[in-house]
Amino acid sequence: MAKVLMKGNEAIGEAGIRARGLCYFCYPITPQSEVAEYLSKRMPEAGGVFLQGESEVAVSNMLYGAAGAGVRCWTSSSGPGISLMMEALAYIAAAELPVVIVNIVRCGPGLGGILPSQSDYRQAVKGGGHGDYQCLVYAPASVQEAVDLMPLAFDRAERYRNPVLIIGDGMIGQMMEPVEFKEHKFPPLPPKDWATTGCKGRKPNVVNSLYLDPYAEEKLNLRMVAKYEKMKKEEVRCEEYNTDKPYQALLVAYGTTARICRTAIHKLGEEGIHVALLRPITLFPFPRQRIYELAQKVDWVMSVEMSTGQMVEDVELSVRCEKPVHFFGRTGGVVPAPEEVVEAVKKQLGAGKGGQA
Amino acid sequence: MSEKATREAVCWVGAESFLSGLKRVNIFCGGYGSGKTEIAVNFALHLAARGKPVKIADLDIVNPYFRSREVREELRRHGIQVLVPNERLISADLPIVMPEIKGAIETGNEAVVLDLGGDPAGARVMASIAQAMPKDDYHGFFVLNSRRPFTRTPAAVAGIMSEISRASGMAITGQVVNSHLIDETAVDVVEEGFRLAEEVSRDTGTGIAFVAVERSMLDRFDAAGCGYPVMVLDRHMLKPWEDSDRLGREKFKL
Repeated sequence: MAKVLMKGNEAIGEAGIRARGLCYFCYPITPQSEVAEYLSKRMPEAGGVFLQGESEVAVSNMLYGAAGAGVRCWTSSSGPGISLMMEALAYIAAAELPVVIVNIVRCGPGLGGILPSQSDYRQAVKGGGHGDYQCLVYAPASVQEAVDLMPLAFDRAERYRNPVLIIGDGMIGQMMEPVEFKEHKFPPLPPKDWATTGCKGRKPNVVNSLYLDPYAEEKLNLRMVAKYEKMKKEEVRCEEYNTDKPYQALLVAYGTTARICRTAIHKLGEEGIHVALLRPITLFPFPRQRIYELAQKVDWVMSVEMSTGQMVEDVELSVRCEKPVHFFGRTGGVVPAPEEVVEAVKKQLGAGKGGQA
Repeated sequence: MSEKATREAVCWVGAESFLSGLKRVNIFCGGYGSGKTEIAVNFALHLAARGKPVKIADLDIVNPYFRSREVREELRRHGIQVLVPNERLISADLPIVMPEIKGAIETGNEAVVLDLGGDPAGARVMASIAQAMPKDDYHGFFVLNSRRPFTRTPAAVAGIMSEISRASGMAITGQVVNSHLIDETAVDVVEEGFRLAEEVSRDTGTGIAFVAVERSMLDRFDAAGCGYPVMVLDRHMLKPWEDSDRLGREKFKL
């Protein structure tokens, strides 16, 4: 199929349809509303369900219900809307239901603004809702990658019976890039023999998150932990840049910030300073082992983010606190310029030299 | 002047008669994401380069990012008056229509360039100022990218065109062929754009006003031989990691 030029939000909508995510509930919010706008046109053509709820609270509980009935369903929103969905997300996780949630992140906290940010990192990775649960979290760095991650997200959500988040900063949703929609093949999924599809001739299935028996609740918690451990072993995804030759510093950045870092690394290379980049594609599970290995060759690592350093602790844990982890970032909707990353790296390299002298 | 500098100065190819027929008010409308802003910004800069006084107004009420207001400082450096909402609200997604825009259309000697939001929804804002439009002294340009999913066929293009015309209350006087895939544009993508626009022209009677081609395409694309006026486009709406000196796509491919 010929490549087309699409805005990230539209492309995510189309990718959802092609991944047979034919049940989409939403409530509009900038900078994500084009997903809903696109699907309001395309979903009827595709024979799916497009439904704008009266709020994100409604939308997230519609997901809970539809997923419980075994329907492949999803939504998209941004910071404040995602916060409103957190209660239902915890219920969905507890009921072990597959749901895909796309967060096109705007700056915050609170209403914040409509400009791009990565300040929902902790909300996505460390829980967000209540209770012992985790989401599998993907972070695309291009429109094409967002398109390619959608079918994977649906597959993994159903394979693990667990919610999957895709988080992209506002730029991922708003920018236009050429994309193609490839066929993605996955091994067959297990039957949804847990879904509430009508119990004629069989025992009723129950979708529930209430456990008054502590031993039953603990059993559920441990079963969920086993899933997260499996994800840590099997689902880690990351990309490396410039790690195939000697480097003086290692940057860790995800999403479009990683692309800004690439430009910075190129500029540094022109000045004879060699820097490598590790780009996590999964934020949970985090590519800890690979970061640890790559950090062996440098004195320090730097986390570069469009937030106030929410990923720093995960990088510190990855290097097992054996090396300092520095931070450079802009926030509040300000996007770091490649030149600023160049300066931050040079400053840190200079500081290192001063320390040794 | 070096050969490179001469080449960079080229704004138009084969466009003498088009440029002699320019109108004072130039409105750029089109499907969502068709490239109106980039075209409007280049058009304004090219007019300014010809020594004309120019005003540009950002009427995009549907897009939150990548609006012409983001390059306002660069436009001002070239002597262009930029009509955008108050700085305090510049990053808001509010449908602000400045009264100065209507004034600029009604009177004055400056050429006026209007950058509308996409689709009929974005063009609707024109209806509030269409009354002020100088009859027969404006061009309503419809920007077309054949690689945008909702404008792939002549019927789809004609449909959006007539909806925009109805929503905005203005006539569409010509098509601007802007077929591209950003850094992945091949010559056949541009040619596919003409063919689509030619079919639309046959069906609707709205001809091709000009073709927009990015400067880096000039060594591959025969601008002088294509049969239409060509506007040479320099990209101003860059993503934060894209360098203005263009380091080459392979370095950024993800």
